[in-house]
Amino acid sequence: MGILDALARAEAAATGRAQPIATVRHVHLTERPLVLVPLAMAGEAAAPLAVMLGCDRERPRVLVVPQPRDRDLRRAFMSELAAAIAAELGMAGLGAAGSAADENAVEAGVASRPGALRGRVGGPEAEGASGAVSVGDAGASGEAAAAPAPGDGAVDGFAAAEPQLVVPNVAGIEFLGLLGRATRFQEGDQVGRWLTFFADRAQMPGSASLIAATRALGLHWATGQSAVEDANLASLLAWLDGGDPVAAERQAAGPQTDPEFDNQVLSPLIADYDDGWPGAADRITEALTGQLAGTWQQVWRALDAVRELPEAPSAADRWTWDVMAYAGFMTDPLPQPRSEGPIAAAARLDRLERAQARYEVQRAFDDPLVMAGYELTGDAFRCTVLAVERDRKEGRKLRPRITVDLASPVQKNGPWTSPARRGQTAELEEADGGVAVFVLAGGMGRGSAPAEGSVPEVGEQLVYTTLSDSFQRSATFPEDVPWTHGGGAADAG
Amino acid sequence: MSEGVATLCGMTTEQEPALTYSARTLAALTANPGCARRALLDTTGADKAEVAGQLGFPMPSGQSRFAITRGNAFEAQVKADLLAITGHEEGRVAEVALRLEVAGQVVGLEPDALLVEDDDLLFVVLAKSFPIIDGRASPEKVSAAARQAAVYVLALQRMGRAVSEEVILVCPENFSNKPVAAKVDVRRQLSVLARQLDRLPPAEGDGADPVAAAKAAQARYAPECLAACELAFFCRDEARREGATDAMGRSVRDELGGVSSVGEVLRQAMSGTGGGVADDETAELLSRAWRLRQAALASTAGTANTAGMAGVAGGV
Repeated sequence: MGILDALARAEAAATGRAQPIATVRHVHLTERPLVLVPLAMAGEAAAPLAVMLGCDRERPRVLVVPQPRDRDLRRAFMSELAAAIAAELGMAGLGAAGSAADENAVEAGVASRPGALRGRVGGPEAEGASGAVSVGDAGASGEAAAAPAPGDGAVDGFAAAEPQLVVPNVAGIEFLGLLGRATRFQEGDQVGRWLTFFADRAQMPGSASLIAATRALGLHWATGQSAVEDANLASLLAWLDGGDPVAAERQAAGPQTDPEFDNQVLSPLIADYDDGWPGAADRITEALTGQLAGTWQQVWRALDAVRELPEAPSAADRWTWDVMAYAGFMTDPLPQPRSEGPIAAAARLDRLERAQARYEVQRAFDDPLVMAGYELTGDAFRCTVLAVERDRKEGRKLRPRITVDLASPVQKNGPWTSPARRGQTAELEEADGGVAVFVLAGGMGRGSAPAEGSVPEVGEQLVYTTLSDSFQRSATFPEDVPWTHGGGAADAG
Repeated sequence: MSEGVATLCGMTTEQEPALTYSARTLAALTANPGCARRALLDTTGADKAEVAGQLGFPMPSGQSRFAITRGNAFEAQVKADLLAITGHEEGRVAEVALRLEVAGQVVGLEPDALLVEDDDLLFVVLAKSFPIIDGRASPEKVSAAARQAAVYVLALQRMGRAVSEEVILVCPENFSNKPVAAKVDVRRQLSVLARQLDRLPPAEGDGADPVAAAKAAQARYAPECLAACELAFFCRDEARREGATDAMGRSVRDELGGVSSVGEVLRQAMSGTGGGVADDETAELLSRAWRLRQAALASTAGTANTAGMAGVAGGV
């Protein structure tokens, strides 16, 4: 949160409407994102109650666990979830493992080693994994019954090319991670490992593999309320659409259900189910569907709002990394241990930090409104080109010189880069009042004269910044934990 | 609990305290020590949920029955095997009527914590039904538990008892019902609590009309109150009506140079002067930020697409 964003919040509070804090869309959206709205049972660690999911907003699937404390029903739910996800991602009707799925993956351009994920199911601790999850026929009802193929083998369908998952809020991301953790060490599990991949990936700054609708909105609009209240999707949308944010707050977007609903509606229904009343499961499904439906529409509304913005150039680049990470997971999955060793943790932190820095720079380069925040701190400035010495050289090197008109004095040392010519640096030669002279280097091609368009022209408006999105090398890490960090002798003892 | 329970008395000479607090109440009170409204209602023993309802801002529905059932079942399970679970097989379960001086009066504490005495040292044990997964638990929940436990530790210390400053948190392990104990050092929470308790002003008023008293008292609202205080929705509404920047969070207010009202922020941003009431440095910064924001919005208005910025040599 910088001053500009805080100011936008103040403006929103004064006007009662959300205010833009971005002019382009910083998150890539696929044509067919898979929306998941999970509900969990209160008081339990990771007991799924229901999920509404699908790529088609008009035809959501609903999966329900009529008695979430029953572990067999939970397992059946996970099988149904696996089958439903596979079906939604275009893999319906999968028969025997390893055929249709791999074919589809190759078509979609993802190199899939047949059955690679199968070979390692369950992670290092699972023994004798069978590799296939059978589609449950127990307990849960809902539309799911129509979705999966009969028999087993559905999970191999996960080789869909570029899945993008969308949940209502950050708690939804955490819940998918918990579901993944709760199941991925079970024999034969694949869906748990798959969910774990997405929950882990969501920690990567700028990743769009698994996004929370609240986060996607918050990246582009400021409301007049606090971050605490922004975690509520309905309330956030009310700021955007001119509704009443306080009234909207009462709608729970999950995974936690509304306590009043639990006490008044769900609890008696589950008691009926436990007592074996006919039709109880259907009534539970109906009640939970009612709880899910509003949030389902809100997630799609949030996607519509974000989609209206033109996509930022770097968002597509970051999505490429997401696709590659997913392909890597599908073909050669790494172990997903319970907890990381110190070196793995340090390396992961290093990756996240570099991704964060790169993400921030890319957003500034893509978006003048984000760049304005750097202008305020002196890390960027705007200018207009007054004069250009285009063919100037120092020795044999091209070193054009430009004279610019400055709105405010240059406060920092360079080198400066312009988002318009990222491969080129500018060094301040002299400044006098509102006029400054810069010498340019790089990004002009290999010829004896600068390539067309590679040198700014008279009258051009430029932004220069100290930010750089050039590649940052990763830190190197030792193979063993050094004794200073509790390794070596401590391990031996 | 039956045999092996030693009932120990603290402050036997004191008469029965007039007020009984839950540790959660006290922890919330000290979480926002600058809030006179909260301090007033707590020190006069008003029913805050009742007051909030009368003010037109009833608390949203309480806890889910599922969570309560699960919490009670887990606590009973822990109680039944307390010594083994906490690793104090040689110790014994203790019960102490806890008292603590708050704002000049002695109050009782609801016995939500369990106590184990081992080798003449008391250990505060909290049974919580949130899980510890792969050795980690929700940081917010652990710190809330630590603040709560610190109240018990402080009460015991001030009653002159030998008590460990490491409390024992018992939670279900991973996705099972199996209780697992973890030690939590509460020294930091303890010193914060002690300092803030000592700073509380002495209780005022007789508590005859808590609604009027609440309206009259000055609140210090922050979004964090929503999770801790029954009156939060009333105070939030008040803060929003006043256009308080605090309602958007302390960090937002800090970014806005500490200016307390939204109207004043925008006035300074648009005029560029503090107008004698505030320092011009803040006003200048707000005004620069305002102009930069407007310029950036104007530069993309209409086109919205910044394709030109992608430039010649894109690529990462």
